[in-house]
Amino acid sequence: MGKHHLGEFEEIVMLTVAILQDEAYGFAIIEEMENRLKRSVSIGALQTVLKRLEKKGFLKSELGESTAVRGGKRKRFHHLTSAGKEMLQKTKEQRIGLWDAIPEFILKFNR
Amino acid sequence: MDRKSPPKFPLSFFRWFCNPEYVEDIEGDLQERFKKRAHEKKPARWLFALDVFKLFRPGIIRKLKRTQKPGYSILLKHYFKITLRNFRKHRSYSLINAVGLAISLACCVLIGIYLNYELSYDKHFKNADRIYRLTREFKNADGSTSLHLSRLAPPFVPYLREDFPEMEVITSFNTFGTTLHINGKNYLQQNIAFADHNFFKIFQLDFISGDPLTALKNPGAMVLTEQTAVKYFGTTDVVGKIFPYESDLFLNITGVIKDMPENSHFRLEMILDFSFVEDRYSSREKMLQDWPANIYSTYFLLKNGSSIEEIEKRFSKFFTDHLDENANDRTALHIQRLTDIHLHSNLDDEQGLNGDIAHVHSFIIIGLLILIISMINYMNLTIAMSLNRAKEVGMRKVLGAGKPGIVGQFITESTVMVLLSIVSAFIIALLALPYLTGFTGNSYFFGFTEMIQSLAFIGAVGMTIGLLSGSYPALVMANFHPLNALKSRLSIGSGNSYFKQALVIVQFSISSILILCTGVVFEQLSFIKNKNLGFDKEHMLILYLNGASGSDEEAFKQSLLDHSSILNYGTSNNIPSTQLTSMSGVKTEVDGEMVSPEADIKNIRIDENFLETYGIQMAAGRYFNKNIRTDSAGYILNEAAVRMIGWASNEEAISKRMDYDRKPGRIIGVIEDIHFESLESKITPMIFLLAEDPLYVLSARLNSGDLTETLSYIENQWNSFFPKVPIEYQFLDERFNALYEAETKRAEIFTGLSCIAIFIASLGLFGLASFTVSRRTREVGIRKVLGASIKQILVLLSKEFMILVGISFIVGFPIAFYFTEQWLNSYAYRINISFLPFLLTCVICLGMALVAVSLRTIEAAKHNPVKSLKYE
Repeated sequence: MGKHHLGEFEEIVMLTVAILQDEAYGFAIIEEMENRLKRSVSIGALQTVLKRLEKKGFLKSELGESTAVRGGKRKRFHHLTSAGKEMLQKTKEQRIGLWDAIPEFILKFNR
Repeated sequence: MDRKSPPKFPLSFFRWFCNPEYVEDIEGDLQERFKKRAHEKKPARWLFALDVFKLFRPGIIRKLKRTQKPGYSILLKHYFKITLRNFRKHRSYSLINAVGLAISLACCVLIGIYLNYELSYDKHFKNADRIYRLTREFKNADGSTSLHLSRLAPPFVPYLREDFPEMEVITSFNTFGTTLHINGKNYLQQNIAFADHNFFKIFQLDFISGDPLTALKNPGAMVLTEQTAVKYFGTTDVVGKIFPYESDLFLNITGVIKDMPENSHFRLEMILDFSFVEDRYSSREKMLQDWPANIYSTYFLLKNGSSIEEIEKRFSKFFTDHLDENANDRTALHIQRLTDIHLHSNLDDEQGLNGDIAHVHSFIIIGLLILIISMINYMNLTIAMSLNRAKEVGMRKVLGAGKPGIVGQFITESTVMVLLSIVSAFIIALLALPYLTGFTGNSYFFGFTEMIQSLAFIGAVGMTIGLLSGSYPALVMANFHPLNALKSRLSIGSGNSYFKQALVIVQFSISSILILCTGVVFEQLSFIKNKNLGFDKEHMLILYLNGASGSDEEAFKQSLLDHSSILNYGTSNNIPSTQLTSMSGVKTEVDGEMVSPEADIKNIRIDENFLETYGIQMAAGRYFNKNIRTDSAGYILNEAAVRMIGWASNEEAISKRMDYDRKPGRIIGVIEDIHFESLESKITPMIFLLAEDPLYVLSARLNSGDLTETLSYIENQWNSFFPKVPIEYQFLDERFNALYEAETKRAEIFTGLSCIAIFIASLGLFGLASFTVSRRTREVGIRKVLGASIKQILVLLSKEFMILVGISFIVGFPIAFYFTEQWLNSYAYRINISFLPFLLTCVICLGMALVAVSLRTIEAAKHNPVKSLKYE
């Protein structure tokens, strides 16, 4: 296993970035997350995580063209790096492995 | 309140704390979110503030450590600002620094221009590296050189062509001057040569018109330089015209060449076909026998790939083949590189005044010494000034400047200073160049490339100096501990001040060496100029009788004595101040037998009046006498010849038999030794003989009366007897001065450079002294309060510097003594170095140092102590 492993919020952010493909900039990510997960995300929390992921090498970003909508401010678009994709894949397999190891009845009981 | 835009305070707060890299896109997100919320009628402004607050976390906030690195350009701008402020604050230091450096750099440029010119001689010829000159040496019986001539006799070239296939082309020419009568006018034409048709194959001069290969092929051909063509015809379009060389000799002009560059060791203006020379001999066989007529400068072009050593090895065989079995004992051939001639050759009959590689070296050394002095100045002053700025450095360090920053600051200051100096050095050099040209008589070509070259040169030298001498203080300062620097508890350690003192000693040693050398050089030159030559060189008029011959000549000479101011005259083929190059085989009677003396005796052909006119004293015997018929076979020697032959006394020589040039005769007199030649050479054995042919140089002794009147009388007489020939005369003392002219000029340049050296050194001392004074202001104040007199304070402040100057004498004098001794040994007649130059050096150095130091110390000593104590 790699040195890093993803925190829950980190994982969600990366997945959202993956969903948005070429439109993954700050506000879009927040909107997507709020819409899908119904949970409020502060810009501060998101940005911190984005920076951290970029530092870990799972994301990369570049500034786009300036638009009139945002007061002329440019958007920073995020993409998964191959390391990021690999990480997501691994995380998914771990989760599935964990799910597979759970006896069926427990889940049924809970429901 | 404007509800449609985000609140101002949180936004500007965000902009302040956020890492500048992220500001833009995050602010964009904030804005976008704000708009959406505003659209959804949520409390967008509050939520915005909340978002901003939540953004205030590590990872988003800008780096705290060093908030921002200013760009290099900002830093540089700051350096420049501080540099300018510093220059303005310390005007005198900066001026001293810049001026010293500028002057020394300008000196270097001028020396460089001069040397460049000296080194450029003959290099402009095509194939200059393959052209060689042949020279002929004559040896005494003991193997030493009696004469080394740069020219060869006519038989050499034909035989050399047969024997040395390695010499691709050989050419020879002889040079002379004459008076030409063109269109009823007289022209004195120098630099004429008879040259064979190979001349232009070796010296590929630029032809304006005509064909170099055939120009000298046909008998009666002539090539002119541009200038000469214009002189006689007013145009350069003269090829095919007829040149009336003599009344019965007309030459065909076959070519016009560009004027020969001045940096050639020979200069020709008129080149005539060589067949005239051959025509002088009744037959070719006769010419091939004339080995003594060494008047043809001979050059060859070496075949590619051949070696000079191989050629030299076969010279002895050459002489035994063509001259006789024993020829190698008497004479030898040598080879000189064309490009070595100007600086390395000083033979007995050079074409013109050559340079000397020793002078090239000494100028390089002086240039370097001056550079060193100014460099030390620069370093000393920079160090001294920088100590004043310890606090500044301390403050910078406290505010976060690193070592590179401090070094950068000081290097920038150095660089700016050096750049200023370079620019002013260049201007000074340009302004001074005409003086150099006027002084040395060389016309230096200073075009665009030369300018770029010299700029690049001083640029490189200057920047090196700036970096070298700027880096030491820079590094010292950068290592200051900020706390100590701020507390001014800087121990400017004794090591540092020793270093400074050593630098001052070096400077003044160099200055004292240069001044001492100058003094000795001048003493020697005045010794040479004023030495008793053994005859009276004053008021002696030298008149050249070229072209004036026949019965008129005798009448003219007689008419001279009619004037009361003309005391006497004599004629000869040579006059004092010329180098003697003529000699013949000699046998003399020693102990009853006729033997050859071990050294050659050089001859001077004279008339009966010559010795008397010159006032030459007889050591034994008598002058030639017109009325004694046997005197035509009489010889007069000098004492050097008597000593060389080995007679015990001058009297013993009288009446001894002697064969000179195979002509038997007897010795009738011995003259006291006179300096016939330059004092650089020893008095050689000389023989005076009565001439059979007419003599062309007349020496007339004038009395000190009205010189202009006498001269105009002589001119009138000349013009009435020889109306067609221009009169040509000189004074003997002028000729002697001309002998030492080059040496005198060099001495003057030397003086100028030593003055500059001592000036720069004193500038430095001045700067250093004023620095010391300013640091000791309070000490001086306290001393004055306690009762010290101005004199005591002066002594106190100057003592240190005077001791340093004193030490530099101890260092400098032995070195200077050694070199001047070496130089003096090149003279046959030299002074012994007296104490006078030493005294002079001490006085000048101490004087300059004292002036430099006291300019500031007097001021400090006079200062009101109250004011100086209030200082700070």
